[in-house]
Amino acid sequence: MGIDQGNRGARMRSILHIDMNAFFASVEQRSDPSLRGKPVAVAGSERRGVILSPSYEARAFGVKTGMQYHEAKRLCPEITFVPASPGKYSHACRQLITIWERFTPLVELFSIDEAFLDVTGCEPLMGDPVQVAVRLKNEIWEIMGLTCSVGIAQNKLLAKLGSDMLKPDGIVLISPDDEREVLEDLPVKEICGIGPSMTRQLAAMGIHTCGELGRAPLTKLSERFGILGERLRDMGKGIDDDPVISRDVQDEEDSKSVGHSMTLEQDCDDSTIIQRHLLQLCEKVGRRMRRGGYTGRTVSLTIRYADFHTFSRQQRLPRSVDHGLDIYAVASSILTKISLDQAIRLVGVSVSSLEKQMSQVPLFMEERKRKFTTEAMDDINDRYGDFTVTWGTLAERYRHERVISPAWRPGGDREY
Amino acid sequence: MTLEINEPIRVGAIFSQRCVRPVWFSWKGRQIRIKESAYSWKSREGSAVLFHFSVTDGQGLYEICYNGENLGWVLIRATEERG
Repeated sequence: MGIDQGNRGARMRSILHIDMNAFFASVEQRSDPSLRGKPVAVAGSERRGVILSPSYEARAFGVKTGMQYHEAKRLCPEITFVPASPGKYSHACRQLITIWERFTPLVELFSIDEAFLDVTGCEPLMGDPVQVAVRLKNEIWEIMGLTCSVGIAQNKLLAKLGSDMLKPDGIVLISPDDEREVLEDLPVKEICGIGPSMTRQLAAMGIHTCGELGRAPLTKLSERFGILGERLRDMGKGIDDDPVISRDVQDEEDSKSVGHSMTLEQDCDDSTIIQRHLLQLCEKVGRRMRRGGYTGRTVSLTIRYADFHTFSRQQRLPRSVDHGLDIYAVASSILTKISLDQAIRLVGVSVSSLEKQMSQVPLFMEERKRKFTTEAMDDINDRYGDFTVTWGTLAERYRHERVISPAWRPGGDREY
Repeated sequence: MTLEINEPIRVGAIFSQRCVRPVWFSWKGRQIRIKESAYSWKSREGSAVLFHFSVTDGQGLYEICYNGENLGWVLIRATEERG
């Protein structure tokens, strides 16, 4: 007997969640035969930053994503740090999508190394979902030499839970008959979408497991979490009607913000250098906005101090902007108003309150000149690469680009 | 330790059926024979498509890159044998 689904989700679906195992580290191990079978960690740079992806050999020593270098080195002295190569990973992701789309057109990219596949109705052609998962894993291994974990269930929530249950290289099927048993004693924090803060709030209400969450009175949950209350109770019951959204539909969805950040090679309190980094970030943000046809009204500046204390300040503008210098003018004025307590580790800029294709046709000569100059610069940089033509200040720009954004999408406006 | 090189190099490669297989390259006056092409990927620089190859001669690891627009090869980086 499955969990009560009410009248929703009448059609039984077959959803796969694919989670590539230690994706960045595995790609690096494929790329460098001397690293295979050894503890490896992909990091922001060879000298600084945090661990982005430890290999399973490194994880065996307790090395985790987000850990700092010295911590990883202390746990695993023989670990090899490899600087991240975003281009390599985005190419590997494109290869994965090609493989996934041979099985179903309904592929939703969840991140660069995770995807949901809706294989409902594929049985006559490819067998049951477990057989599909086995074939899919075999193809990925044969073509790319990479392993993945697959969760299979009737919705995305449970499929994601399943892929987390057997790593690396596992397949977990959560059938409707098993759902109640799987969820009953499962800590709520194991569910995708319930973070540490929500877990604490639920614990304060005496709710620790999914079973307890599913049985909690809706009035009590709604009182505390508002409209999220019903969604939370459904999560506790394993109910999730979200469809798998194919990539072409995902690509059509408008962005909510455009931003870039950089972790500096070393902590910095020199305002000239910080301002230069800021200009570079603003130029990149402006380029991406123009490429996507966006203008925006809110500019945000994010600062992370050497001790990892992070904060953001933002300013709303009377008119929309998409030019790097306009964004820089605002970000720079925000920065000058901040009394910096420490050296800076990371700086980031983003523009939100976006509007699509809303830029005003310039009426005055000066504005027209600037628009035409910007278009000419964009054309040259499109042809020969970013920053081929740029401001003199950026001749000494920061060239270290080792971070791949969670927002990356193949075919999107962010290139690697 | 990985060294960023970014130097143009001469490469012997086989082009067949839309595939490129580098066989050797010259660097610092010596010819390095490629034992294994471990990984390859594509990227873009402006409108140029770049074909990257991670190759090894059995001792060092090298990233070499072919620019599909100017038909030139570049040694991007070299990694000394890891201990």
